[in-house]
Amino acid sequence: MTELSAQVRSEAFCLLRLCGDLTEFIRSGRTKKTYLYETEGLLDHILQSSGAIQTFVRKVIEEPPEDELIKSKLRDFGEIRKGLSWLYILAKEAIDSDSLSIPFSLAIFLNHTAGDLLKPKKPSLVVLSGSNLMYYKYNLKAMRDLTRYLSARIEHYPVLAEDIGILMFPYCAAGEVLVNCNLFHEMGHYIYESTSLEEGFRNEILDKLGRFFIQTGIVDRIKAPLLEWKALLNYVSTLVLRWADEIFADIFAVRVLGPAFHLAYREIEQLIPTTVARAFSETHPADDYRFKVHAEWLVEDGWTQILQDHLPEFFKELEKCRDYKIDHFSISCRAPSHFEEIQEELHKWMLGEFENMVKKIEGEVSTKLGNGFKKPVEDYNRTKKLVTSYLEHGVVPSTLYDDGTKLHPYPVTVLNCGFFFYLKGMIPLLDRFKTNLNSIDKRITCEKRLNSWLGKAIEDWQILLKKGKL
Amino acid sequence: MSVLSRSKIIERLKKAIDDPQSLVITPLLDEDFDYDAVDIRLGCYFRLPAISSITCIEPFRESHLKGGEEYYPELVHKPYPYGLGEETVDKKEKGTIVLQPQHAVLASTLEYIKLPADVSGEILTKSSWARYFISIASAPWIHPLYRGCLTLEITNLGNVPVKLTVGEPIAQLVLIKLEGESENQDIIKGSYAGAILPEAPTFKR
Repeated sequence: MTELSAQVRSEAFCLLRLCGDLTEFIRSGRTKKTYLYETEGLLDHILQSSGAIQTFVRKVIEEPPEDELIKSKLRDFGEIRKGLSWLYILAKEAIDSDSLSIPFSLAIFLNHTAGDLLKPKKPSLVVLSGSNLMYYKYNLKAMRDLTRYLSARIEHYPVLAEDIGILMFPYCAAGEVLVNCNLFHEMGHYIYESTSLEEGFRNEILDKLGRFFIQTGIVDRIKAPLLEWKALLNYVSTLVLRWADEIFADIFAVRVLGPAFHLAYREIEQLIPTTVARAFSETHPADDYRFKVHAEWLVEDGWTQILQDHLPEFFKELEKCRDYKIDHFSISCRAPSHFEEIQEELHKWMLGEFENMVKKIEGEVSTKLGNGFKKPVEDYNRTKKLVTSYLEHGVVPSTLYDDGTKLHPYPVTVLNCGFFFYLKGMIPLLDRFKTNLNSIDKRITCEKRLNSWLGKAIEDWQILLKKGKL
Repeated sequence: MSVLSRSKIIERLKKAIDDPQSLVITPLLDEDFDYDAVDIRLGCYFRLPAISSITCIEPFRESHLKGGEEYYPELVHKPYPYGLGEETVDKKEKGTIVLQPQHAVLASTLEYIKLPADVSGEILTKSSWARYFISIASAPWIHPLYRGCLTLEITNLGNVPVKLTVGEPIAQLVLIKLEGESENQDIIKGSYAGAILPEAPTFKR
């Protein structure tokens, strides 16, 4: 027992050092605390956690626990260690995402949109940059469970708030407004978490899978150990649930942002060579299936003619995707080895079931957006010409005058006009800059300016809104 | 040359963007401005100059001609204190920057402006700030057709630190009508044209 006690002490000293390092690390914030308000909240949470752990550990050192408690303390220390390593990663990413690399105006607009949708909750979407060439939402479930476990044992240990969401974007996209429209897809994952869809889908898919095995006689045909059957259930449910999450996020982003999201996705997709157009992967539905869904909602929300006018080639491609049926697609993953002979049959069934889920997902997105959801195309149609004209003149399109009447375009209008302008309308602006059209450097400078004007217009809209000027 | 009055400024603000006489000031949070000048607010971005790491600035050294970012190692964003009635003291405090005595910082204006082809502008420190020995611009002249957020060279010439708050009026823009000929083509000229952030200087030989 004395050995265990010594082990507790040494473990405790080690944890104290880790807490000290973590606190020091957060306090050394290189950006002099110029993060977004939400990031500050996250860092505060981490500081509180490390403070509570320090107090707990000191108490253990000063008042060694009774012998029978020692074992449980050791187990707690193991969990604390796990918690500290999570916190370290989060703090590092939050601090690395310094003020130079956060798309501020877009991040503030994301929080504004999420706040509108999730009233009366006040979501805090922390936007951080990462070194991966991808956008993703941090999975905080394990972290939340851990904080719950620790808060039951450590006095004043804060549970990670339900409303915190961490969205990651690639560092190389810092300062870009257009391509960062992909963040709305990641916000979609956050909204998905607030629905009960996943739980419902999990139960439904397992239930239906059981019936499918019986009806098709698969149960009798395949002789596999119980563990392999469990692996198969896991394989099917994990894949289908991941696709459901992704397609929810896609539909959400397309409905909120319109073509700007689709075009932003296309921008990032060009950079990822491994994407397979017709095959569903381990994590995502096939690109062409996603485009089919994008196309359907772009039509539904009134963007068809606009796309046809501005980007006929994109429009043609989307139209083609709309015609695809689910049996045009395949799954690129392999079922567990015992079930190879039924893989084709199983994959076909999974795709069919997934398509049924999409209908429910579409309904849930509409519910989340609410009855008062104003299709962004209405504001777009009212102000598009003016926004484009302001951009052509190198002016931030946040206050527009039309025959003496003042208009402030909605950020979604600004993003869509900005995208069409970036793809097809830069020439008049380059002319105004007296730029040699073949000079790539000059074009890049111009694109940077365009992105900064769009960001400024979005920021201005929010300032005007808060000042009661809209 | 004559100074544009409030009514003339409003008249020009309402003109279509493709009219060479059009003026843009956005966002214009207070339309009830003075008879002869528009209040300009402190923006969210600051570029802090290096203090101890540079022995001497040499603008015309070959390696520095393209831009002097190394003299301004830090770009800082201070958020606009959002939220009517809902802002906390903590949130408000985040939108401030303290300028030490005899220190200087580059800051952008909250307003993005575009001047008409026949109007020049002059940016002046608001007199209340001047009485705290804050000076906001040492290069106050703005050419016709300039567009962008203005870069302010804010200096604390006093003996005590001064706290500056994002979104508060700090300067006045006086607009002056040119006599005689003016540029009739809407072109975007100048290294800093279209800037949103305060930009480090560039020099040409």
